[in-house]
Amino acid sequence: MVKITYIQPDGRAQTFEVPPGYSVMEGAFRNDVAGIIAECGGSCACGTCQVFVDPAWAERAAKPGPLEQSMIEEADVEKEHLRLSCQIPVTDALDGLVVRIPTKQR
Amino acid sequence: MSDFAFEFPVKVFLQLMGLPQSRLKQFLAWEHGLLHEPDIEKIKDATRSVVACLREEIEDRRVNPRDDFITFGLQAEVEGRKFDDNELVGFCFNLFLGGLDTVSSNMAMQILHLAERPDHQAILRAKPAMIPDAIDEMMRAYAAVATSRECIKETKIGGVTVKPDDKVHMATFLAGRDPAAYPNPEEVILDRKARHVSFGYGPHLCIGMHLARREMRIALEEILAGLPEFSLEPGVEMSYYLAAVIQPVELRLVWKV
Repeated sequence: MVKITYIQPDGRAQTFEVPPGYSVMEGAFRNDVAGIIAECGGSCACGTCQVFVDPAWAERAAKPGPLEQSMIEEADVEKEHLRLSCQIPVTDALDGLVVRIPTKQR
Repeated sequence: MSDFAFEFPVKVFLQLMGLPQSRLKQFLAWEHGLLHEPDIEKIKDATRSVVACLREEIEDRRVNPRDDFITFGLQAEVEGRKFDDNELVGFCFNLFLGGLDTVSSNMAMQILHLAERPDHQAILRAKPAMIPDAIDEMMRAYAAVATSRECIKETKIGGVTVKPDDKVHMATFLAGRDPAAYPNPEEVILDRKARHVSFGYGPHLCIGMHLARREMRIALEEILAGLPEFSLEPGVEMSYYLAAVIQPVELRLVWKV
């Protein structure tokens, strides 16, 4: 199990044990974390599972592909450190990962 | 409708495809033939014309690549291979069919709402930043597009068994007015910020959603900035096409010059 902490825009933090093989989005979705909408169910098509990932953690996570990059370019929020959480597979290297949820997903 | 709502998405489509705007009339006629002709022969003719045109353009881009959607489609690789010709035609055709009537209809329903609610026009004119949320709220209240699926595996939902090959037509416009999901569902609350299923849900969520949202936003921004307070022409009764898409036949607006 991999520990992931999801921080709401108001600072409230929730930590969950997420099985490797899930995406960071699924970890949030299955634990009813607010603010992760994931309308398209993880197809990198809707852009509603955005999270901020600190650079130190981002280095250990899978790099964004071209599709995710173009989705991020379209995002309507601050784009620095922004990722789509459905495109980050949970691996043991991410144990302790902290992601911050933006104030809005669209 | 013919002055704006039909033309606008077709113009965007032409530009995306790298086609000259001079072909607008032709494409509008094909769109009409595809979607609003009761005669199956006319529907077939329009379909063949669009497919023939797309094939011709694809051949052209193969030799003369440009910065457009067709060229992108020719060069793109999915799971390690390129699209074959039929897939590419299908992709372009889907964008043509999926992105025209649907956008026109949703825009029309939104403009209709605003024509009947000068107070909402005033709010959005004063705060254009609210337009994106307002569009989603109006998409909830006036979902224009229903979506169909074919069952592949026997499934039981709410006590009803759906069998393989059954066609299921999902009425997004009813879901958007579900009182269990939305308090006061009949009321349009511009900043309600509720989720809706008018673009569908899950892996087959409308793939044109981002383009559609952008088109609708730009349309409303420009209409509200460019027109004084508008309303429906008095005495005109609304009528609608009703099929997979709910679409006003005409939307006659008046405003003081």
